[in-house]
Amino acid sequence: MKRRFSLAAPFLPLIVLMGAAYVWPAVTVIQGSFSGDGGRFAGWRNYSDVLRSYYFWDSLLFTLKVSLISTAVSMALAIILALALRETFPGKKLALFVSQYNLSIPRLAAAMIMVFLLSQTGFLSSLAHKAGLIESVGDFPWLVYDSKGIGLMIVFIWKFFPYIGLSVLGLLQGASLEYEQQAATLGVGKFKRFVHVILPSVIPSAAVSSILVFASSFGDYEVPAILGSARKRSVSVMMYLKYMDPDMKDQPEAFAMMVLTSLTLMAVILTYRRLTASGARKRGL
Amino acid sequence: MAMNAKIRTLILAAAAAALLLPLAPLLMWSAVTYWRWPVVLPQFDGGYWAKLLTDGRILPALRNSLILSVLVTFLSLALSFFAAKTLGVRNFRGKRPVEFLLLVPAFIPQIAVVFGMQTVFMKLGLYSNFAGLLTAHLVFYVPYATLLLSAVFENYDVSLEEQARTLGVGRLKTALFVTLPAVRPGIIVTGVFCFIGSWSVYLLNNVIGDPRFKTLPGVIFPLVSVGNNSYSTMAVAMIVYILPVLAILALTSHLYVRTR
Repeated sequence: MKRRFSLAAPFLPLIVLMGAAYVWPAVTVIQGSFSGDGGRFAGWRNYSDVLRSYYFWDSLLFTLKVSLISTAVSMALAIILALALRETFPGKKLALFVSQYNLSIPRLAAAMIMVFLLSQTGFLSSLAHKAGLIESVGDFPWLVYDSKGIGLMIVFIWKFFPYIGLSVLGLLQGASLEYEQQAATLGVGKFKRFVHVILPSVIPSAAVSSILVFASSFGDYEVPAILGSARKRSVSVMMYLKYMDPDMKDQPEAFAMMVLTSLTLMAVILTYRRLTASGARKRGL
Repeated sequence: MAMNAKIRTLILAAAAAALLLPLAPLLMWSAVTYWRWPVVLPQFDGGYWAKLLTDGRILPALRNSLILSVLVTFLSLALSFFAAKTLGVRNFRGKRPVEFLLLVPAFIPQIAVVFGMQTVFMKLGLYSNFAGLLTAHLVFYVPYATLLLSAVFENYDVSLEEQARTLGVGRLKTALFVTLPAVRPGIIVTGVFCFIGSWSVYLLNNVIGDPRFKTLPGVIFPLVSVGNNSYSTMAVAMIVYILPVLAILALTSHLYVRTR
């Protein structure tokens, strides 16, 4: 009995905080998603309304697309960066700092930096004009505020690939080098060593940080609020606007959307965990 | 697989260009008042820097953000310390589920709970005041800190504490002079990540916080989303927003990557 208490005691502050300020709010949101006019119980009606809404599906699929592509590209770039950084070479300290520095740029600032750089009247557009590639502002492609999510993906990839890269680097500098040398001694070629030795050894840690990156780009509010398109809304912006709508009747539907997107996100994460875990097992890790 | 030095230089140069060059227009915008397409190099005249000290929004918001995020950082570390130690050092049934639960607030979009928080915080007297804003931030950074710190404690040798206790050192002294120094680098890294997280959040400050207690994102977000504000003002505010975190990162950069 005493042992059990000594195990639980350190978690008390956490339990109280999360119970009152996270679980209770979450329950409030779920409750809200089942309420109708005047707070009466509405059953599944809000859900069926949301599930039949074109805007909801459009926004959900758009956000999934943007965050999946951002994560996959970030991961590929991260592995390349980590491979380039892992040995000792002159200037490594500087290279490491350059790879770390943009952890310090809040997403809000990263979004605005990209507006300065990529908007139709931005810096790149001016450079393109100087180089004779475009004649007028309209010739420059829509890279921010665009409905394909290009601006969002650029911000997320820019912000996240060094972050994954550093966590992959931590692993690459560890044990895998030994196996690799053994494989090299046995005459295994470069490409095969990459696929069968290096990749499997970085996947577990890359998987954890890429889940975090996926979740943060999926649920982000600040970046799409600044450089998203009014025609294609990310889920966070869509739910914010729905909730804030002067027509208060929209609130229960907004709550249903919050529950549904959270469930979608959890489903993607659990599937992904399954896949990477079974992939790692197959390779004998 | 020793990487060819030329290929490495090429990759690192490309990465450095991709990471650093986007800052150029930001820096230039902060120092000009007038810059129109398609001019590549504008006339520098000091831009909004000259007016920063008299701007009544940016510097007070900087002070507020520092107060908030420093408090969030230290409270997150304090509230997560013993839980993280238990999680890292001891083995018990249900350890994995606890670790997964700790990730939930980081995974689920903030927007999905923040309006529930608003309703509950109103009932608890935590709405639209500093205590509420602080609590709202802690909800996201205490579990996060617990998880990061527990990984630090997994490599921690508990027998050090036992030795100190055998030598008659008290509990508090053991914690302060044995445990804390042994995990110091991990604590600093965790603290920096909490600080950066709290520093970046706009949504909580907007929905839960006191509108009179403006933080930097609270000043910057309306500047950039409402339009017809000068890019120069935005650029200066943005640099003020980035610099403190950059300084912290520069001071602690040796801690993030283990070098053999």
